[in-house]
Amino acid sequence: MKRSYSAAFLAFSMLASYAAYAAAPAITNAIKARQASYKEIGGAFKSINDELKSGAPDMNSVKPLARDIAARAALLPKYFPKGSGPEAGLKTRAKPEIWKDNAAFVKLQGDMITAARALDAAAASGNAAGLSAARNTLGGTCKSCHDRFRAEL
Amino acid sequence: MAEADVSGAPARLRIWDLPTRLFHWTLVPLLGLAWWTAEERMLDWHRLAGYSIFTLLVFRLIWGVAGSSTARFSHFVGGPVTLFRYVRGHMFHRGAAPAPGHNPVGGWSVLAMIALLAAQVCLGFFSVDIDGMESGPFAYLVDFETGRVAAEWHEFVFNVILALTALHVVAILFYLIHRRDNLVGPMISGTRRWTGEQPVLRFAPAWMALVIFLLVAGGTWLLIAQFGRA
Repeated sequence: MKRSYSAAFLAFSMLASYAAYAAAPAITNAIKARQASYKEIGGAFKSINDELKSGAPDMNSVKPLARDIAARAALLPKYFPKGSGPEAGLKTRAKPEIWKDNAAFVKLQGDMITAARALDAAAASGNAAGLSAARNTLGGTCKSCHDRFRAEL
Repeated sequence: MAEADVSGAPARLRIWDLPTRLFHWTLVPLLGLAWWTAEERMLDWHRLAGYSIFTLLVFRLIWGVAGSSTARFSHFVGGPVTLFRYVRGHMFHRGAAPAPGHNPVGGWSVLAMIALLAAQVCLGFFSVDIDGMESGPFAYLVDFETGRVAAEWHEFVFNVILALTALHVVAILFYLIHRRDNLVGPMISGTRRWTGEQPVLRFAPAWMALVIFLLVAGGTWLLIAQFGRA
């Protein structure tokens, strides 16, 4: 009995690893692309926050950062193909819920894209108070999605 | 002076000065506050807790060189021989004479705790949260990924601090139950039961501690207000 379980498990794991392997190129690229993109967004957003926290933000350095965030945010939806969750076998914090509650995920992603666009507009207008408000909105969308769809390791 | 009184009760020996006791007992709620405010994402309060702990640590380091005998590192930090002798000859013996202050094992645990807390506060200074919104006061000096690494270590070191705290409590229970020696009482009252000859302990005046503390607190405030961004 025990033996047949382990045999089944072995067969399953082989299949699973083959599936991961077979799925590799497109899935791997998507995971890598979104991770690189999130890192860039996080870095740019941190720099904007550092500027705001200094009390007198340098708008010339903020503008390209906000533009970059908006551009990268708009591309994010295509980096979450089915199968790019934990089952891909790569290091990812993307929870399976992203595809289970996909409508909720897509909604939050849309909120982020909208907020990123608003941040870009605020930076372009050069108004520090407006930038600060747009920053809070965008930060809120990061948090609400992370709380629900990003795994704490 | 040093002998037991008429009723036969052993004399009391003053071992902990007020500044050392205050340091200990303010650290406890501050650690709780730091944990709770991190859990609840009240980062403004979390930073305040961190600055307070930083102030306490710097004060304690100075007090460890300039303070009363039992607070001084030179008094309670011994080499491996002292440590080995204590563990072999004293630690597990109920009748063994108590240490006037930190015992050799406790002394090292004090050092470890101070080092861990110092590392923890410094990591917090440079930490960035995953949303890029909240950060330590000096995180603006490092890039996002470095700030994230600091934050991950900040979380890890917290667990190490928890483990050492648990060990601290277990050790106190061990002394209470096995050695029948209550270590908590003296940390509150400053004095402990003592039989036999009393060691000579020097106590630094409390006003000196107050002056040092105020200077350190002012320095911390300057450091954060002048060079920090949070």
